[in-house]
Amino acid sequence: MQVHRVRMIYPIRMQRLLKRSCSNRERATHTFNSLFCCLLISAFLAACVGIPDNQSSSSHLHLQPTPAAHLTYVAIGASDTFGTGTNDPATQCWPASLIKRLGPDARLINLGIPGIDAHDALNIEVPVALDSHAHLITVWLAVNDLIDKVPLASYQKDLASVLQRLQAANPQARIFVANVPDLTVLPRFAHSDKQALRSTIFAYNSVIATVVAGQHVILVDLYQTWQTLSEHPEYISADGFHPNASGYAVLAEIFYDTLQMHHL
Amino acid sequence: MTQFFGISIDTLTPILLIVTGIIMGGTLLLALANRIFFKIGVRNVSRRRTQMGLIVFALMLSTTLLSGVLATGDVMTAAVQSVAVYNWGNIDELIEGGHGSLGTYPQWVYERVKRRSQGSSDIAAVGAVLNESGLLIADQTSRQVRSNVGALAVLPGSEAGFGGLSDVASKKPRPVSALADQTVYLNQTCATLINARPNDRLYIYSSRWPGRRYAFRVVAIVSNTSIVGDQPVVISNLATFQKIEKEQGKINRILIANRGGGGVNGVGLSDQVEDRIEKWLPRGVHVIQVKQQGVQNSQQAQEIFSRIFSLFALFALAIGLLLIFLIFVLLAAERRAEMGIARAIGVQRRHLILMYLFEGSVYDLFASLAGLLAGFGLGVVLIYLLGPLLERFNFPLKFTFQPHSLEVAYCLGVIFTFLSVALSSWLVSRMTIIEAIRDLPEPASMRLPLHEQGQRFYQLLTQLWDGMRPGRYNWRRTRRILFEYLPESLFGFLLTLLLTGLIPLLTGFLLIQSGLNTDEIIPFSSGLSLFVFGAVLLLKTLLLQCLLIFARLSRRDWSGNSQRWSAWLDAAAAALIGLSWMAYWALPFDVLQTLGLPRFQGGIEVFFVAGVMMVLGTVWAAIANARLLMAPLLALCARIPGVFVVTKLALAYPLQRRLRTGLSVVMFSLVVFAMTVMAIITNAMQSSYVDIATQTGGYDIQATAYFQNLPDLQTSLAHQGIDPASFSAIGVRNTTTLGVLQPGAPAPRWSTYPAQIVSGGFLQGYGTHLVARAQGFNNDAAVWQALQTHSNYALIDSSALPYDAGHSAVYDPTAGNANSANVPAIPPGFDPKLTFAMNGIGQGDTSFLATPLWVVGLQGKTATKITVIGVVDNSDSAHFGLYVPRAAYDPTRASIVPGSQRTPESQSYYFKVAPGHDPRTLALALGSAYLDYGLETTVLQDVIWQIRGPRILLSNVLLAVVGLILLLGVAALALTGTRAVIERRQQIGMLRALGSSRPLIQGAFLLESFLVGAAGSFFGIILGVILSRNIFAANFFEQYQTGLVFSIPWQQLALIVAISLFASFIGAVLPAWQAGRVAPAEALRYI
Repeated sequence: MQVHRVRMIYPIRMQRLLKRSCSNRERATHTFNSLFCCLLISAFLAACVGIPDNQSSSSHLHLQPTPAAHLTYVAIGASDTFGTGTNDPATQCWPASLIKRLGPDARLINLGIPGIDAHDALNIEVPVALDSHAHLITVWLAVNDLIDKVPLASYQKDLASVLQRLQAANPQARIFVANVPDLTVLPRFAHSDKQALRSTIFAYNSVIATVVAGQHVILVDLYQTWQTLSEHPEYISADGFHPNASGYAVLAEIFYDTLQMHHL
Repeated sequence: MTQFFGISIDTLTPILLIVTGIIMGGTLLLALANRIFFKIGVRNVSRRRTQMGLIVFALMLSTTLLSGVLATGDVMTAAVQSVAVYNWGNIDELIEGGHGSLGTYPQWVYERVKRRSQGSSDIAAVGAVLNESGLLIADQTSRQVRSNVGALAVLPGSEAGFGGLSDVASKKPRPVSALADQTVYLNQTCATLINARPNDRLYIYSSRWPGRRYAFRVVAIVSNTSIVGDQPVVISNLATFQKIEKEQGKINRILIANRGGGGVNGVGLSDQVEDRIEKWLPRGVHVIQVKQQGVQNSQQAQEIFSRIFSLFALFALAIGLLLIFLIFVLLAAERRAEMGIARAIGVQRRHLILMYLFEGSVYDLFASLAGLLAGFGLGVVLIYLLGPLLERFNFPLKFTFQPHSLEVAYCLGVIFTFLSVALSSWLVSRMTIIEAIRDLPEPASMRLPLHEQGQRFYQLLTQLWDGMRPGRYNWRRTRRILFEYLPESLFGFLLTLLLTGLIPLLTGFLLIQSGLNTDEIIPFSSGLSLFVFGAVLLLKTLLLQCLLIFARLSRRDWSGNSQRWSAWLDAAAAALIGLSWMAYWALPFDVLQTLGLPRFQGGIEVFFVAGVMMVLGTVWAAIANARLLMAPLLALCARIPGVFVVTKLALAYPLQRRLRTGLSVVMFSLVVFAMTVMAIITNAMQSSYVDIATQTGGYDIQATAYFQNLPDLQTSLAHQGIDPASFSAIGVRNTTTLGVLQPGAPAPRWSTYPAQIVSGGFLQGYGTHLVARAQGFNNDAAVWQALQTHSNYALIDSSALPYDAGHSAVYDPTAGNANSANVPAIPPGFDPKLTFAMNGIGQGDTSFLATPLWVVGLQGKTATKITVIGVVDNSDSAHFGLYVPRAAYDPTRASIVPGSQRTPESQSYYFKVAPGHDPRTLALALGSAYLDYGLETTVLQDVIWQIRGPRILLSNVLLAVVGLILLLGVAALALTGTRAVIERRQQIGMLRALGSSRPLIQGAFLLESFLVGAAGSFFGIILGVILSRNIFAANFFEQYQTGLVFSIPWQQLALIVAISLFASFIGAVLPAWQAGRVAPAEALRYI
């Protein structure tokens, strides 16, 4: 009984006391168990050490890529380019109609901002256009300048700067510049001095033609090609100034025809 | 509480009452028919008082848990309804419509409605008002300004039917007819906001009357009851505002009160009242059921709380019921030897079951009643503790306890106790008498092959037929065959099918089919679990059969090895099944969809089932392989002899009695698991709703100047007589509108979006929390840090993200969405077609590619490029905007976006009050100092309370539920520890007789208790965190626009584990100490 109690309390010492050598199997079991235990402790310690710290790794910032496209088209302009006058400017503006004609792989970046003039476009729209590495760029910035009575010299300088920067940054891009259509037929100017308005339009279009020729870009002559506007009052939206969806579709056709004429 | 586990409580209560009645009636009849066994059974109650006390206490805990949870549910329902109802006072319906910007219509409409309603039994009162909103008032006496104040111009006398107006101070009636021209009453809310008192002079401004202001004198402050409501409002005579608005003879609101006495009582009549009144109205005027809509909206907005509460209630129920089961399994095990002796002297098995049932019923009757009272008391305590919180709301919430809840709690306790008692006694009654008397483990029962079982069944039927034949009728034999042998044979047959895996396989297959047909996740996943269970059992059976065949073929003697192989296979099968269950239920819930399976549906109860299955699977796998898992521990201890002996002794019982140990570990795991899940959810709620400092950006006062911008504050404060040292920080937040274009979008174009130009605490994450961050940022802190150091980084609110149809659907098909929760989806005042929406990340996404944006408005008319690196939670519609660091903003340059019709910029000032100063006093001082600037000051804490009040209240109610469950769960663990020691007095005696010292026995018991607790805590914490992660990952909470985000409150979890282990230790230490003092002979006799 005494021996039994001692064995229970001091098993290892007792084994030695009784000079009972452990069998190989018991020794192997002990070794295995000890190893397993050590492994568990090591794994736990490794897990503790391996807990990631809370430091940022913002240097590894992954930016959203630009969608790939066969042709990237940037439309620089104002409210007409934006699509003001339609129920859904995003899909019914003329650049949206034009991009459908340019094929399924073409991608539109519409930079039109209602009310913008050429000077503001230089700082707002041009940087974005330069960043987009476009293949095709249309510029239609004249109507707001005309309405806001921007001096012709300033307008000429701003428009030239716009085109220079676009060309300098992206010489491969094809650039088309639209002039001022015949605004005298619009309901908004029904009570205006049409003669004065027409002469202002001529002056602006003359400046545009000069800048276009100087920068070797292509003119989209809306004044000449959109003379049918007077016969189609249904092309104008309720505000009496902007085209509606049908009007924008016709505008898109005019731009498309010009692009076709220049093999694009 | 109106629903319990998706079943209407009105439907559930009668069913439970009937079942309880049957059980109690049946037990009573059995007691009358078996009086001797009733006496023997009940004798144990008085004979073993300590034991009885512990059992009654455990049962009481269970019922307390149930009734406490149900009482809390009632409090929650009452709170939600009170919030909705209180705002509308006694008004049940409104009549609105009309023409013009105010929506006015002739006053004769009111006269007509009033005249005709006199004959209606459903309508109690009719009133007429001209209601206005969006006023700005400036109190010249208190020198405070407040915007967005309403005006209620009341037709004199028409307020009387709604209870009239009463003075806050004197409680005297304040009739509208007493108001002369240019005098007003203010309601309590308005008076508090502008610190107004009677006889103050006010100016009222409105954008409807530019360039004009009207002077008024405050006659009295009236309470928010009756027709007033708790929004800030000035009350005047109808004629006053008719003159101001030049709308003589016109009103824009008719108020209707239904019969029933206010509150939600009249809501039931709204449909009838609307149908009736609509016939009396001219075209263009219609009835709105405002109170009913209010109750519905409030319930929808707070629906998430009732769902979370359901989850908590399920866990509480599981803990309570498991406790009952555990107590009776332990009791039955303890009585095994005694039952063996009883059987040896001729007592039948059914008599043993009856005795045990009678004893259990007596315990239950006492305990459930006491538990009910305790639960009821807890409900009262809850209301008492919530008292200070409710005062902030300024509405009364009474303790409401539905009688149905009381009945459900009692009946569930009785039914489950009865089932537990019946099952455990039946299990124990099927003992081998000799082994039971010697308290040795039950030998493995030999199961007959299926064909032999069939033969036996046939023989029994033949004998039954013989016994029932006329002339040879033997009632005793027939009864034994019918009630003992046949059920046993049938049970054996079913058990064989079950253990060979055939029944689980078939049931699993059917459930999977059902789940696939109905798209329900619970049948599908349960079926899959059963299928795995069955398949592994079948595999095990086949392997054993193969081994036997191999042994026969090789003509070896496998008699010794077969048992060992069987044990190995059992352990392997348990590990395979348990770990498969754990792994499957731990998977994120959307993973099935990625494997091509349909998107399943399920309520929040799926998380409960998942939790229970994970715990069961893990504990089963661990307990079945406990010997293997404990071997390294023993090996480690083998080097220290003293420790080795204690460890060996501590492990001996758990390794031998694995079912009981398993149940204890499951109990411990379930408590810790439930507490972990609850702690994570309540922590998210507390930090989202209750932590005011987080929501206010660390600032105390917000101020907006309506007349002109403030001069430089640092110099002008002292000039105005305010010590600048009273403020520890002053921040400015500009809100402006930006033009935004995303170059990475498929068809980029300019659109508009509000911007928040932020600095200081706002850049450190105060007041906002992120729901998504850009890839490359390891955590939210990194995002905030990057925002502070990079002026071209920005955040955007979650409303700018589109709903992804594939992602937005949550498991629960009845879950609400942004619309049902009355949350605006776009910034107020913005045209949806021209408002920016981000591309490349959807609602619910938590990670995205950093998104470059071009913006106009930060640096005047120049486009600048910023990168969005995080998404701010806007579930409360209070965080619209692009969050841009102030460093990126140039306030000196014109910031109007070309073509934008919006106000260019508004500026808000934020003040952090220095310690020791009162924000309210300083807010009043600021408002007074800058009255000429039209400075409106708001104590942010008050605003948060106003907006988030109901959610704060409900968060605290849920926190109370967690506390309650923790308290009772911990008591249950202590009880389990105590029972584990008490039932083993005989073994202790044996050990003492063998010469084990007292410290050795005490140490072994404490270590055993610790090991069970540690294992349970480990499993509970790990599995709880996994499940919580899955709940949040399944987008469950986001769908309710709750803004809850997953974070692990490690400190709280550590506390829970510490408390649980401590409770278990305390539960074991006293009995262990007593056990050590037991005299061997006394313990061996086991009295």
